[in-house]
Amino acid sequence: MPADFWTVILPAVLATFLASVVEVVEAFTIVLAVGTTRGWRPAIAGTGAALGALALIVVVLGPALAVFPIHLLQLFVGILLLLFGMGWLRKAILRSGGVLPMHDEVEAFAEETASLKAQTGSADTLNWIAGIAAFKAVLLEGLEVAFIVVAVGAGKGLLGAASLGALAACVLVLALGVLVHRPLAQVPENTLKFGVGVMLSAFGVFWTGEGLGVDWPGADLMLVALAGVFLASGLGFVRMARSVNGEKAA
Amino acid sequence: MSILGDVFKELFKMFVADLRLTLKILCGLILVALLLHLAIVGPVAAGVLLTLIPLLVLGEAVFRESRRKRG
Repeated sequence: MPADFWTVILPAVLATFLASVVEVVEAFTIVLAVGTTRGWRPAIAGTGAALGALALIVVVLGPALAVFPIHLLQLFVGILLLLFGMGWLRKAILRSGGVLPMHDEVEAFAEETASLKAQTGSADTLNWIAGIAAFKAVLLEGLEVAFIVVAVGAGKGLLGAASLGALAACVLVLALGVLVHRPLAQVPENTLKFGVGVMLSAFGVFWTGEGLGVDWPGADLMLVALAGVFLASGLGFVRMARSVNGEKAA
Repeated sequence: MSILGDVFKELFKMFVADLRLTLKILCGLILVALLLHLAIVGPVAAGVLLTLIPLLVLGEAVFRESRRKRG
């Protein structure tokens, strides 16, 4: 087992897996709406095309980044991961604090279904619109996963492991979705978002520091400590948001 | 074109969910890089600053948004 398995590889793969679960659940809701409203052919075609485009992004961009010097790459990727992770963490905190509403898959499914049913035209046109809707949903939700896979892969040479983590989540969510055949509203999306935000922020700070020449005490072990600091602070900020907002949100 | 536009919008939103948060973090990172480059702080102190600045910015963003929503 590599020396940094517990401190770097596992958290990195876990972050891509959990982020992928969040995004695939959201994309699945739209694909399900397309499939149940207009049939599975446009739904599968749109999904397949989007997954192909995302795979192409990862395959082209991942190895291309490896040509940059490692410190420059870690700085660039670290800053992007920090901004991205903080964005997720902020949103998850505001949702947990009752400031923002939770994402509702059942509502998203109903909205997409209504939107598809409101379309008019020939059967071919309707199928085309439905396929585009599935393509767009998978592509847009998948972009965030593709970014995490490429960033984590570039920062520590974990492109293969991160891709596997994302792929495993994809297979798991799709299998679950096929089984229950309805929006996966029970998945604790905000908790996962919170966890991924914590991990990516920790990776972001760590790699930005590495890129700037920061001397982290404990080397890779510092990642675990950073994640702990972001987790504790995030939970504290949830309490603060609840208190400021004057609500006892879940 | 609409799909491409949506892709760029999504990419922008990925890193700029809250413009003030993004700008403050970037300013903080530039400040730490300068302090480190000018040897005003050491490599360990720079790490502490790198950790604290994003947390303070995040706390401020949550506080600001919570107050704004409360009205």
